[in-house]
Amino acid sequence: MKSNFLNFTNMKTIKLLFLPLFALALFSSCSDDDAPPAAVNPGELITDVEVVFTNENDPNDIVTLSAVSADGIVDPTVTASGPFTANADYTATITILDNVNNEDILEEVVEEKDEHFFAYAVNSAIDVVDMIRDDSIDPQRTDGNYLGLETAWTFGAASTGTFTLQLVHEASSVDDQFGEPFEFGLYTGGELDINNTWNIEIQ
Amino acid sequence: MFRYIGLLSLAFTCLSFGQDCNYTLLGELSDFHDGTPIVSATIYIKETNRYITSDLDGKFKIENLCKGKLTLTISHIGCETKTVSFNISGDTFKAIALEHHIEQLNEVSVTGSKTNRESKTAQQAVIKAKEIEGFSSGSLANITETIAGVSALNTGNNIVKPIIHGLHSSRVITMQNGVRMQDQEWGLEHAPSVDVNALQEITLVKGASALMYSGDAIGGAIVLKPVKTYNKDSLFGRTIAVYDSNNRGYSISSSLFKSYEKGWYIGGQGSYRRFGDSKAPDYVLSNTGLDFKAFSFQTGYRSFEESFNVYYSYLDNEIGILSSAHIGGIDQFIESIESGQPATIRDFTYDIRDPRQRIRHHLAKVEYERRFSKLGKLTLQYDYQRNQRQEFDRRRGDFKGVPSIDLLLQTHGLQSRFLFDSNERVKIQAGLQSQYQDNFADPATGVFRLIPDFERLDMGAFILSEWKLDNDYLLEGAIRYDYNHIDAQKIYRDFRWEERGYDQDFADIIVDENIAPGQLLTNPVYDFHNISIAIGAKRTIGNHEIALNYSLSNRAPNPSELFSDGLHQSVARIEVGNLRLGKETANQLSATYTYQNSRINLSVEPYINRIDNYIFIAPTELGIRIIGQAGAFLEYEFLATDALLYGVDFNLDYSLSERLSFKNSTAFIIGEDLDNNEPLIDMPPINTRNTIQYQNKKWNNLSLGLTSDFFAMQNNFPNYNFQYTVPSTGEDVLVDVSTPPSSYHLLHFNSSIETKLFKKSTLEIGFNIQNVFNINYRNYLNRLRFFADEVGRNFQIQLKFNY
Repeated sequence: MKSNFLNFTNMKTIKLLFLPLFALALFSSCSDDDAPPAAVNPGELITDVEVVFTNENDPNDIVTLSAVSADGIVDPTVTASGPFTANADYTATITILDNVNNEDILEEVVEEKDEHFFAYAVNSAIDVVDMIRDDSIDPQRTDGNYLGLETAWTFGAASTGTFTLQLVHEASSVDDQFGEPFEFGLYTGGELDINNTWNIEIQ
Repeated sequence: MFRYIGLLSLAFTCLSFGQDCNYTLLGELSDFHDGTPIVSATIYIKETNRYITSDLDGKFKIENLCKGKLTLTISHIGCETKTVSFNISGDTFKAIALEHHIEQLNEVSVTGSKTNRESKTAQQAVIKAKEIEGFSSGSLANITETIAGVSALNTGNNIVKPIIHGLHSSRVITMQNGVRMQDQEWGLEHAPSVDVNALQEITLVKGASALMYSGDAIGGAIVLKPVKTYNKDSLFGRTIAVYDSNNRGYSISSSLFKSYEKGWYIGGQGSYRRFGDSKAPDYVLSNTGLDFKAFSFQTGYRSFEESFNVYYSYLDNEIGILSSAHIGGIDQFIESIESGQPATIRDFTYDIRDPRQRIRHHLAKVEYERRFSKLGKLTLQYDYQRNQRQEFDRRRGDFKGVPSIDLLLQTHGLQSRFLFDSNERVKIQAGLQSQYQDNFADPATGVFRLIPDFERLDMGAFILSEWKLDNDYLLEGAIRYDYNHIDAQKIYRDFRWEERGYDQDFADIIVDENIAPGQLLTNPVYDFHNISIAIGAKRTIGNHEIALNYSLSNRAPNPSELFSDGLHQSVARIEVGNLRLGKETANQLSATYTYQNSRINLSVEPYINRIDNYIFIAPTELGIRIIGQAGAFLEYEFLATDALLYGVDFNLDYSLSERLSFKNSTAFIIGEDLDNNEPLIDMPPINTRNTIQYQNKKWNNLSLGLTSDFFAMQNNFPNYNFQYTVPSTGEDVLVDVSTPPSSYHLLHFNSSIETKLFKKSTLEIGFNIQNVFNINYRNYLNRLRFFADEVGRNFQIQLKFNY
């Protein structure tokens, strides 16, 4: 290799090689971390879920199954306010709240009822005699299925078991007759926005 | 022509007036690159219509010259013919440099499999335009998958990214026309933002040459080259139209280029693709459509001494994510595994609904090159990329249609390099690169940021050298230094901060303890200094070639590995980053044996790669986390371990006759987690691919081929299964997130025929069938394998029009 390395005109151009270094200095001076990022205001939260059972023959006999997640993200605290009365009829309704943003989520669910569906489940240990969707007040979806917001339950003999409430969003199909003779409901696809299980007791 | 007549008449004028015609011109011809004399060049003297030749020293002498202009045309085999003119006013000496590397400017026809290798001592592969065209409606990873040792990582059927020797994402870099793609390649479900129709060549580069691009490409670099024009007057283009029966998808891609002999060129290319839902043999894979638009444009000038290139490309890609994968938690996940088929099967549609991804990527580049006589070539480049990624989930109320993830990543890059190529035996290339990157995560999503806002600064310097000892020995070496600086602004939720023990170890990075209720703002800053080295040697003995390569590379953890935190609804899992991660260090040793004769081309490539601090994502100890009222979700976290990966790639090309050829490529890899003494997760299973191809040039270039593709079951996998009690039933279930699917064997058919349409145009018609027997199978490397089968049989018609 002949020593054209130190040729002056070449040297001048070759200085351009170091341009990225200067750019780096420029880049680092340009960068600013002054503005802190805005905290995200999480949407679509569900903090409080309640299923409120009222004894049809005794308005003072109310059993509330509640699940409370303080920020809608942490594991909810699940409680049943008390036992159900044996051989009694109850009507049940649901409340869903976002206490972080002070929103009534149930309103949204009813508004978008075609995309939503409540499904219930109880295990075999608990004596449930009857369960229907109360079609006189329960919102009906365009596909004919009842949403499952308003239900009527008949409990039998004293027993303990589990009760599950699920709210499914955008299921590909739902069936409110599932569980015959009960109407617990079945869905395929979609994703669960609520999936809580309570330990309950009939006394 | 008129100029020449003018010159001639001038010459005659000289003669006729009998002026001083006793001057002498001494000339010396040398090679532009290395200054070596050019012997026996033909020198045509216009004025006297005479020819002379240069001597052994490259010198020539013309006597009895008159005062005035003298025009010489100098030509030499392999050199660009050069015309020069001088004003003669006395005895003169002129040094003239000729260019003999004209292949860089003009088209050189390459036949056979001999290709210009980027890396000479490490494994590498080149895929040419012809082969790329066959995948006109596919993705980059579908093409690279044809290389032994390269597999594909899928999220459904439209999001596919390459895996090289078990390594993917940030460990594999994609170079698009000299620009390192910054398209959030860290994510498993982020495929390269590339339109394959814009590519003329795809090269897989490893070893020393890869260090020119980056020091952290532990897996390798995929180098993409756009269509190149040559210095001749021409107008050419191509249109490819494809119809796929499986997803009723149509694709069209067109390009047009104009080039001039003087060196100017301009051209562009555009593609449009629209796919509906794909079909597995037994059902529609609902919401797997694609809406893809891309175009690129380039212009520039190229002469031997100087060239510049302006390039711009844009891509807008909307991809549906399998509806059934968007589930609400572990209960539905278990149901999905148990039922063995997707929960949501709708009728075929072209509509893409949520969940879906939308990616928009702009890439702009300006490049300038200049050659210096007897020295080499300087390249300067600036590039800018803007990548916007939006992921849409099924949402409720006011958040309907609002993306859950909305990231804007902008990158500025500047690089310079110098190639010292004046010496035939020793080539040296040195360069500097700097890069500034800014990520913005839009808080309007109403979902906690999966990736935080960050700024990143990178600097790299490299020297690579290639040394040809003689015709049989070649040595390669490279060293590179990289500096990475990451400055993030990350908001943690208190529970996560405490659960990970960050309150103990990272208290000093807290900026605001209570930026919002239950949230704290931190400012994690990372600095990494990395040295990468690669050395290699190659020996040629007749038809045999043996190459050895060692490389040391380091990779800084990427923002996703460090900071991820949140629910990835479209794959129904929570991903948690790890602030404690350090850099990965890979020591890699590979060997290549190649045998080549007129009929056989065989290569065997064993390798071993020890990676300290290997970063991977795997289920957490509990496997699940309960999110608010929605129940339990799968939870994955980023972990680090020492890993050992080793394997062998095998390739055989055998021409049975002039028309019949056979091809095999087989890859085998083992990945071990040395710390936990178990296999690594997500390692490609053994794969062997056999192709038999018939081609007859006489019958309109008829080509018929059958490919058999066998994937074994991956028996080496870590067990992350866990027990879970389904709350609604009280049932204890073993959640199997680990067991890979069974082995499968696919058969593909391809055929094509060519006809001449006009003088300069050809039409090629292709008919292909993928998965001929409509086999049901699931792929271990598909993240959605828990939810649905892979795509079934597909008939494909391809029309290719070259003009």
